[in-house]
Amino acid sequence: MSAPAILQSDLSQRVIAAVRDASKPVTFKALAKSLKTKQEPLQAALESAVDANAVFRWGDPRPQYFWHTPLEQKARESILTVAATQALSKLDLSKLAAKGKKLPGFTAKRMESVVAELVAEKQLQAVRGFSGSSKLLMRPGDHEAYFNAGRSFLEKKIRSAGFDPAGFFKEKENAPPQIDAPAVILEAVRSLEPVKGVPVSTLRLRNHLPKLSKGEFDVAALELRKLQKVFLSQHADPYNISQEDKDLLIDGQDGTYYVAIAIR
Amino acid sequence: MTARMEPTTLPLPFAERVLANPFGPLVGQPLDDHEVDIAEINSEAFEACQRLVRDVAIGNFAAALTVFGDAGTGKTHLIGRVRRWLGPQLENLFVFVRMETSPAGIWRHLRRQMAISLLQTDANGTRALDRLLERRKRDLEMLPDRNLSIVLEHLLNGTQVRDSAAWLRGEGLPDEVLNSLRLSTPGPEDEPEAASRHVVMAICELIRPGVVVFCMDQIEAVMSAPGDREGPYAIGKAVSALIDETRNASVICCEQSSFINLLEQILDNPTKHRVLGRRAPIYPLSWEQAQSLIEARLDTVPALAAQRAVHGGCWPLVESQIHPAFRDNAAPARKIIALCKDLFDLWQSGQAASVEPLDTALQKMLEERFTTKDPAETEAILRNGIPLLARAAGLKSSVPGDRSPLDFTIDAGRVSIAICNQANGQSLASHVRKIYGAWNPAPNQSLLMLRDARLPIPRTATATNERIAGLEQQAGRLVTVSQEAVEALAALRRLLSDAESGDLAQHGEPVTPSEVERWIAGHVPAALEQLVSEFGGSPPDPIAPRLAALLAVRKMVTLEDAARSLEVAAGEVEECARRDPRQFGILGGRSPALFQPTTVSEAV
Repeated sequence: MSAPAILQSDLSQRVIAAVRDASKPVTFKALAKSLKTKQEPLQAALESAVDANAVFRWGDPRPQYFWHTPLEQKARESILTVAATQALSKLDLSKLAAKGKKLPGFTAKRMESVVAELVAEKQLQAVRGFSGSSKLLMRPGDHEAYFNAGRSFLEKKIRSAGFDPAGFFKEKENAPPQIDAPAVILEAVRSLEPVKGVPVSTLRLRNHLPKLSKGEFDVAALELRKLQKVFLSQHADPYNISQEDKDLLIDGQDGTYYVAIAIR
Repeated sequence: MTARMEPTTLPLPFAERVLANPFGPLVGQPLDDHEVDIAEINSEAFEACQRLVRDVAIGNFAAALTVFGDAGTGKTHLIGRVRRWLGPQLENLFVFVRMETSPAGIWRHLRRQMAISLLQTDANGTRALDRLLERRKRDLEMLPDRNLSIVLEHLLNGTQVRDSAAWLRGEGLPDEVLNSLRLSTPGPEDEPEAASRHVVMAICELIRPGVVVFCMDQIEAVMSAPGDREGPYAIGKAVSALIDETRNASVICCEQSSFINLLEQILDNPTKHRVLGRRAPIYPLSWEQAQSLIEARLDTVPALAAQRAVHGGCWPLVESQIHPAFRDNAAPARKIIALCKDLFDLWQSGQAASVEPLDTALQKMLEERFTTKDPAETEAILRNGIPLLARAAGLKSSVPGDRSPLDFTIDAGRVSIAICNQANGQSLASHVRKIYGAWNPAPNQSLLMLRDARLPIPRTATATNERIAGLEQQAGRLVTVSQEAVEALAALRRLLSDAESGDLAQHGEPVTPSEVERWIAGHVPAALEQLVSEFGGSPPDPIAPRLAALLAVRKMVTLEDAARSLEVAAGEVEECARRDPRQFGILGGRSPALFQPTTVSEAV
């Protein structure tokens, strides 16, 4: 007696489930092996799952892999994951996101265009780099990533001068616990606002909080906005003010500057 | 961004693509936005305005409120709401003042705008002036300012209305008109700014116990150049004076947040206390507020009602396509409206709006700002526009001290400018005499006396003409400014003022003053080229003012006669006349004749 024929619709469901449960993108051969099915019905089931956007084909034309997430989306996730660890130049970010050929067919060059899309969508923001006019990319307001990039830059410089960077950072690590800058700023705005809800100028806030460095202050203010705890008032024409005046404002890291903070 | 947009839902069939865009005509005209006003949005700022007016009415003291927020958040829209609220309050006067003026002309500007408000009629055809001052008719005789008393009587009695209205607006009038109105002629020491300030204060007092609500919009426009501190300081002083010297002025100042920082730095403490003591911020909208606004606007389209009842929300717009306007759940109202406008057009036509280059957009914006200007407005326009024009030519202008009859100096005194646009002969004579007394040029210094080409100096003004001739011998020159040039300068200044106040936007994104100034530097309208070249010290054209004076007397003269009278070649006279068609008309033929063209305003 021959084995009962498997309905094509059942096979499609099994294909979708197999792809969903797989720990990484699977090849056609691997799928055929795991589902113990012949090439022809599997091909048809896969095509139908791909048409229904339940399974996505990676690689064009070869090698072909199948996965539950579109390749483009995975590329975006990969970029954002890398950017969350450290602020990087566009090139380095693209290279790192494409590294290890985790995404078949996605070269660093192709990755760069996805990076550009994420910048345009403001999912990545350009911030000032540490040398010359270089720009680094990071998740908006993610100060940790920026600090890590700064630390990496400093480590390189210290090492190239022939010193051990560990000594420098050890001292920092033994320093007293960091100030909770966002909380401190919120408290300062509340105490300085002339009337409830009225913005307080950055100048007054900076004078009130001399222990916060400009960097800490700016990052914390942007973080508070991201958390929707404050409104930041934008400067209308930052091109017309001197760098000295700009330094008193909050640097939005994307060409914008903010003059005041109000509780939201 | 719009170029990549996908249609939000299926586009309408062609036959139905006739719906007015509910986000279209209302963008940029927030003061006139009667249909859509969500009371919950900016309610606190509006309540602060109401509180201000009530406090002034009850307390019998004047006060100010500063409303501030980022570009496009709805400051002018708020003023529109205040105006509608004040509409039924017949005892109060609403005065809208867009602060397109210079520090030296603030009171003349306030007087003009106050007069315009007083002379405006409501839906019933009643002038605010009649509504507010009819009951004070008997008190007018006792008014210390005789001129004001006479003018108001004329206006209330409906006699000599045109000339009285012009006087009330602060416009210069010829001696014969002043005589027919029985008004005194301006004395040599009369300061027009001081006189205007006096008129504003006196009218406020007449309206009491009613409240005069001055809504000063685009305060930033008073700055003569980026970083100028004189303009903001002068505004602070003017508002402070209104508070100190009246008992019924409610002054609402609308400005951007960065401007308030500047005021905090430059005003002395008492002024700061008066101007910035009360503040009301305006913030970007949250998504929930935006939804209310979008839905309210869409609900103004009756043809969408049935389907909107089925689909609800922001239909036919797709909400996920509006989200990109938001950052951390906040977006300026104008940005949201501009995006929705594009999305609505996309839905109707199936085609995304094309994004035109900023250069093209600015050219269109400039053209939209051209309006007819009366010679009476020329002085304020020149005063407000010359610093901009000088910057466009890469030159630096400055304002001499208060006592100087000169209005500007360019390139550290290489060129001095005196605006000589008085319509009244005695005022002009007095001003030219002051210039004559003060002008003592060093070598390579020159003087430009600017006058509207529509106000030729009559030949009979002997003393004035002699002094001008004397100044011409000392590197001075009378330069007539054509109507076209005045209107072009006003349009340029308005463009920059709108940018300075955050009110100039392309697809909802503010266009900054720097961008506008850069563009202006490369696109000075042709009508202004001659004036700009004057700043650079190009060779003078001595014929034009003399020809204008000749035509003022003889109205029409043959080319040959004109050449004989001016003692120059006929070709030179013809060339001079052809250079300025606004000032000189030429009739062709065997013996060409020159005449003074009649302007539209004169013809009417």
